[in-house]
Amino acid sequence: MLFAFFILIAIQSNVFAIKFPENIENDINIASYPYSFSPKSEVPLFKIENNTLIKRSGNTFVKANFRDGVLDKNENMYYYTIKSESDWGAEKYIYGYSLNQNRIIKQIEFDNSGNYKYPISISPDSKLIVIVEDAHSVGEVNLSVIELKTGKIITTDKIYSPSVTWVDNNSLIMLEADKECDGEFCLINGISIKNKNLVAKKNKVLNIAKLSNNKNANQIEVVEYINGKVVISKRVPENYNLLKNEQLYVDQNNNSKLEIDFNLIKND
Amino acid sequence: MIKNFNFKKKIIIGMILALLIIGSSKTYAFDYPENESGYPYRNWEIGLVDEWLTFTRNCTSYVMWKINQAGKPFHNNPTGPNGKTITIGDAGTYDEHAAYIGYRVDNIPSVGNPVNWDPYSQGASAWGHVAWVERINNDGSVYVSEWNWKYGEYWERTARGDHFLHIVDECGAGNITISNKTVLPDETYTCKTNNPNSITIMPATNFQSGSNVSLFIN
Repeated sequence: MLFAFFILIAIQSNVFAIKFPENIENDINIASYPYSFSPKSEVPLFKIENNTLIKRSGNTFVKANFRDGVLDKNENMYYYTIKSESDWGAEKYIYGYSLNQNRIIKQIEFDNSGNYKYPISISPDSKLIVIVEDAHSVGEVNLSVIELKTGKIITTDKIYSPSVTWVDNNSLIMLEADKECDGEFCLINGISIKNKNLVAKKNKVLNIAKLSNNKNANQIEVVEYINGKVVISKRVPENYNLLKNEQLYVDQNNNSKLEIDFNLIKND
Repeated sequence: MIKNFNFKKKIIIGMILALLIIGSSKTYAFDYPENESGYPYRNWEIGLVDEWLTFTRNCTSYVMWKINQAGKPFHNNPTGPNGKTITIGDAGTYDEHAAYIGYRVDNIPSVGNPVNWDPYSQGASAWGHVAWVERINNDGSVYVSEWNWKYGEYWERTARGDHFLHIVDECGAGNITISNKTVLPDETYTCKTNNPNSITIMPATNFQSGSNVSLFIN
């Protein structure tokens, strides 16, 4: 009886209490099972509702965000990577989830070295996918354009923020840090728009921002290509988890979105 | 009746003992609740550009916030004591870049300053790691607060840092000794501290004529 009392007191004083995270469902990896265990009858991992892509998280569904993956132009396939449980990187596959078949139908092996890598954009013809690597500060984001069929890296670059957009199947636009270096020590003193042609292997650039008086650069991060204009803006908290382009990128003050004529970007 | 009384007495003594034992065995974690609740991007998605031009819920973003909270304006392009400006960049480069713009970087911990690790060092990622020194333990290890040691989350732990960056507090805290320091004419040496037990300036320290020396105790 005394022993039982001990136990009772101990439990009440949290000595043996096991503390679970408050949002345990959200902590569950959304796709931690391997490719071969994706039966047709499985509850969908991803689905589109009200023009918004949502993902299964445990027993519930939550809105997907820009780091969860990327939807192809026809909205048939959703490509994503999985953060490794054992280190800082991603698992070695890009997974292709069919929204028609409700199952993973592709897995593409890719170079997963370094920090966590995730897809942010896919070419209009769905042949190329853009993967970026987690970085700590602007201007340091590693980008790889990867052929979806083979996993082969087509090109790499270093960009200002994890956002790119496509002009056509061979040409994409990104933000690039302008750097002034003293040997290996560099200062980002501005931002440029860069148009990279993957076939002609030529770049066009246009400087769009310089350092402010206090040596700070602009807090912009998203680049889009809409009707011949390059649109630069910033993600805002209430919209960063929406995947439809026209909903995803809203400028902070409704009037600070920067629009630039694509023709102004010149050969470098 | 007496037997029953003795039994009840034993129960009561047992209860008191149980409470005493449990009360004394309970340990209290040294936590810094404002670190987690005060960090302005705690509820944001990870990986967005923040006001200091680092990425939200990364270790760098958290340390930027802590430096600014300590009263020192700082961002990703800081100008240092020697007047140079640099993009401080990824966590693993904080030590080299801070030293380049004139901050003291060494292996001496200082409370209220950043500590960083080289890439892949002691479990750091490919880009290194940076955290905030909350206290110095008797064995020379440090207790740090940080973000993104556990992916995208706030964390506290005991660690041994690779490099200690004296960005906020040139002196450190506790018993402060300034030694082997040469300050040239027209240079300024600032020693700022919140909680010194004593400040000792050793003979080896050389403040040359014309140099500016400021010692601040808040």
